[in-house]
Amino acid sequence: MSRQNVEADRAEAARRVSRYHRQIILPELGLAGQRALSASRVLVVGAGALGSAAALYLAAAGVGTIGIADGDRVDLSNLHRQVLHGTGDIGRLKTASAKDRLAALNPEVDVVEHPAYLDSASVMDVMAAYDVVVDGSDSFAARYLVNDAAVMLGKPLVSAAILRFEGQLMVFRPGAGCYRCVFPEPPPAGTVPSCAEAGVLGAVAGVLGSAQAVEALKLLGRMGEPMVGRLGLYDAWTGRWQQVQVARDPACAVCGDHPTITAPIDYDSWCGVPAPQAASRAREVSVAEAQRLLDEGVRFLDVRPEAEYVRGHIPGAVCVGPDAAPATGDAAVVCVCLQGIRSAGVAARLESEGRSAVSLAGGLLAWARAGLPWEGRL
Amino acid sequence: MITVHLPRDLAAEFSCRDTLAVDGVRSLNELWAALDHRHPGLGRWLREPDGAMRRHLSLFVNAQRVRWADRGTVLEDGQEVWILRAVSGG
Repeated sequence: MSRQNVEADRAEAARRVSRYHRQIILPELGLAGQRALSASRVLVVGAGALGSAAALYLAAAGVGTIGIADGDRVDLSNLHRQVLHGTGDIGRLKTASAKDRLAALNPEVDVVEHPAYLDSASVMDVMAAYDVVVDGSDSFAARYLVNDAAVMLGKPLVSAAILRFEGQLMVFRPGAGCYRCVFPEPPPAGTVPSCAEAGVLGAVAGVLGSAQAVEALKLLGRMGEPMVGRLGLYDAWTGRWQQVQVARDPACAVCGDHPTITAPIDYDSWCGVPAPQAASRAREVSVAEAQRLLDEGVRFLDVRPEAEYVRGHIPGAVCVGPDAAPATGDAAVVCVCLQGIRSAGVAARLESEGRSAVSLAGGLLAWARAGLPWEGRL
Repeated sequence: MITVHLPRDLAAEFSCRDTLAVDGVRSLNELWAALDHRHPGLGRWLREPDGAMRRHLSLFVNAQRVRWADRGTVLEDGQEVWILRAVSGG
C-alpha cells in the first residue's frame, strides 16, 4: 500500500471516529460497540411516524445496514409526524424518500429498500436477512405478521404503537415472550380507531420511535438493560411513563409450549380486515354526511345504554342500546354513540348481517362540536 | 379500594375518568358489576358474556399480567388494575 493510501485510510478512520466520537466515548459502547453497530443489520417495518424517528437515529448512530419495508407513498397528511419525508417527497415511495434522507444524514449506512407491504409470502425472506426488527407498522394485521415471523425466525423485535396522546413500547427476545403473549387477539375490527380516525400528536411518534432506536441500539451494542419483559406505556397528556410486567405465555399460539401457528397465516382475514370490495364501502360518515342522511330521513340508532342516551342525544335518534336489535327491517341506519367507538363496532356487525349501516365518525361529541342540535346536558 | 386504569379513549366514550377508585370488590365479576353500576355499559363492554375479560384486552394487577382473567379472578384492596388494549398506530 502506498504512503498516500495509508494516509487516506487514516484520514477516513479519523473522520469515522469523529462522526461517532460522542457515543464512542461512552465506555458502555466504546470502539468495539461502534464496530458492532457498523456490522449490524436492522429492518424497520414501516417508514411512517415511528419508522421515521427510529430510522433517523439508527442511521445517525452508524448502524451498518438499515432495511426499510413499506409499500406506501408520501402524502401531505403524513408530514406532521413522518419526519423522514419532506414536502418535495409527496407522491414518492416512502422507501425511496427514506433512502435519500438517510443517505444525506449518513452516507456510511447502506439503506435497503423493500418497496412493498410485507405479507405472509414475503415476510420470512425479507426478515431473515436482519439482526433486529423494529416494528413501526400501522395495522394490527401487520403487527401480528411481523411478530409471528420474528418468533419463527428467532429475531429480536422492538415493537411500538401510538394513538392520540399515548404510546406502547415492548422489546421481545427469542424465547422471552412475544406480542401475542401480551395481546393474544387483535381488537374486533372497528373497536379501536386508527391514527387516521382518532388522530395522533406527531411528536408522540418521535418519543416512541426514538425509544425504539434506543432499544435496538442496546440490543446491537450489547449494553444496558433492554426493555425485555416489560410493556412501557407513555401518556403524553400527563407526561407519565408507566411500566407493567409481561412474560412468555406457555399457551401462546406462536411462542408457547405447543404452538398452533408455525408459519405465517392470512393476517387480514384473521384480524377481520374487510375484503377490498367491502372496504370501499364507507362504514363511517362525517358529521356533514350524517346531517344530510338525517335530513333525508335515514334512521339514527343511538347504541348507548338508555342512561347515557337521556343525558344527551341527537334529536330523532332512537335509543337501541349496545345490542342494537331494532325492528327496522332492511332500511339503512346511522349508528351513533358518544365518540364513534361503540357505534363503529355495531355498524360493522349490522353490515355483516346484511344491513346497510354506517357509523357517525366522532360520535355525538363531533356532532355537538359542529354546532348541530342535540337534546340533553351531555 | 382498588384503582382501575382504563384506556383514555374508552374512558372518554363512557364520560368517566381514566383512573377510577372502586370500593368493595373482591373479584373481576364484582368489578364489572361496579363499573356497570357507575357507568352503564362499561363493564359489559369489557367482558365476554361468560364474565371473562374480552380476549383482545389485557389485564394487569399490580403491574403483573393476569393470563386467564375470568369472572372469578380475585382482586384485593389496594391493588392497581390496568386494563389495556393494543393500539396499532405507527
